[in-house]
Amino acid sequence: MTRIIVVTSGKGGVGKTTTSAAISMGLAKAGHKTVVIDFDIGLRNLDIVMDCERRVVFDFVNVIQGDARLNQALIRDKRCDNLSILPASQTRDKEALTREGVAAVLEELSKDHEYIICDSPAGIEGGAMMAMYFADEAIVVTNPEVSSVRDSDRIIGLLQSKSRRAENNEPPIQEHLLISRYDPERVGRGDMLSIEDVEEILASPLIGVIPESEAVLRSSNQGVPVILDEDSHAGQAYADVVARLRGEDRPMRFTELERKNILRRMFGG
Amino acid sequence: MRPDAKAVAPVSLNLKGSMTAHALLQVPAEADLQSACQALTTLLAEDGPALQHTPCILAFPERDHLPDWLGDWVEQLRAADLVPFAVQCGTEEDQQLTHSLGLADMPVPEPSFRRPRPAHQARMAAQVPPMVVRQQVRSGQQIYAQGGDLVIMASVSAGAEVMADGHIHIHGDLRGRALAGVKGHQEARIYCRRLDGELVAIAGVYMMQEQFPEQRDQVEVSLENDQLAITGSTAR
Repeated sequence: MTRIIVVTSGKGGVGKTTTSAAISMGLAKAGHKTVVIDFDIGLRNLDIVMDCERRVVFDFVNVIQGDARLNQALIRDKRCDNLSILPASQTRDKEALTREGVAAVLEELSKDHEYIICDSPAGIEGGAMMAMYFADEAIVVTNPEVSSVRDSDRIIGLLQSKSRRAENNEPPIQEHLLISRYDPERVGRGDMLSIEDVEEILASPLIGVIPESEAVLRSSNQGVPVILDEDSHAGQAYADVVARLRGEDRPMRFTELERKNILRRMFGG
Repeated sequence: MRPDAKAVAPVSLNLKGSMTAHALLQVPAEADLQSACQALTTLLAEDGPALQHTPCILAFPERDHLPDWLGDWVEQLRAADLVPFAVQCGTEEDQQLTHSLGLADMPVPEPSFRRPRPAHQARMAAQVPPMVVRQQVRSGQQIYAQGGDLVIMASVSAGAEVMADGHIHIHGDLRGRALAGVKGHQEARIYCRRLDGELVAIAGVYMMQEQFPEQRDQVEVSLENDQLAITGSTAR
């Protein structure tokens, strides 16, 4: 049974594409046939983070409009055979997606993929609604700040009311809350909402906390999903998220302020 | 067309509706011209300069007809530098009298819409079962329990709005807006576990967050003497 997972947030810049890239790579490396779709038509980014921007010939919109076959548009990742990328069109706008077209593409992908990850654009307009409509599960990415949390709250409301599952009275989309750019030091100073604050406001189950990390920007710019940077805390936190998606129970990491080692403190390390 | 029309640059007139402030000068039903003039003298002695050239609408509440001394009353007011421009009146006769004095007629306003209508309330309480919502009400969502009470078993997020013709019970935190008695039911109340909302309102009377009291746990909001009363505790 294929799991269609939308990565969404409402607000822009919180880490949707980073998350889509990381978890799709993580699932593929764990042996699952996975495809990640860029729904941000007109603002194509996922291909850069996945380091395949020079291999895009046909895109999602070409497939929907019948100008190309799905197999021609799918890009196989060079690092992991189990992972394919369906890039967005850079020249079109979000109106180019039709519900029937998207349904047909997802249907075809479901035949030979275990996971379909939908990277949603920001906002709550057509593109974002299209990305979430067919989903079985949703990863709602939130930064620990008030405006991001409120936008996520709005998105969760839409997931519950405007999806295919809601319209057909099927079991609702299963939501997973992912807090990214978390900085325990700033939480301690009171600059940032704590995990507890965010959980209380959104009342959704937490699937992971990604610490603020320089590795994220570096990885994006190099076209390496941060989950492949196994030394970085962000990479390890994403690995935990992937494990939890696969049903493993793992404790949260990197959520407490690290106490500096006494020797390092003495020698100014 | 007049022969000299060419010489005049054409203009168009704009006729627009506007809401401007004006005074309403009410004369009680028991007054006659003499007692009204006396009261005017007293009023001018107190606020004379401030009232000069004030446009005002004349009103005679609780009378079936305008008094026959309306013309004299208008002259007295003009002599006192007030500017009467309209009269509230209902019957056609009164309207003609008003027009003959060069004044506009204005309709007598309906009694306040907030006044409860007992028949309507009784019907509401008897017929409609409460609407029960089990999920959190999310930002941007709006829920309206028409004709009855609203029960919410979770929290109401910031940016969400819940409304009911009857009472609202929120078994979680209120962080958005809650409006009870939206059709004017003044006995409606709002209950919530914690009041962190943006706004609460009963029968159109509202209060914003900055006016909320310190005690915001286990809160009851009610309408008393046209003001919202919020009672709660600080224990949590």
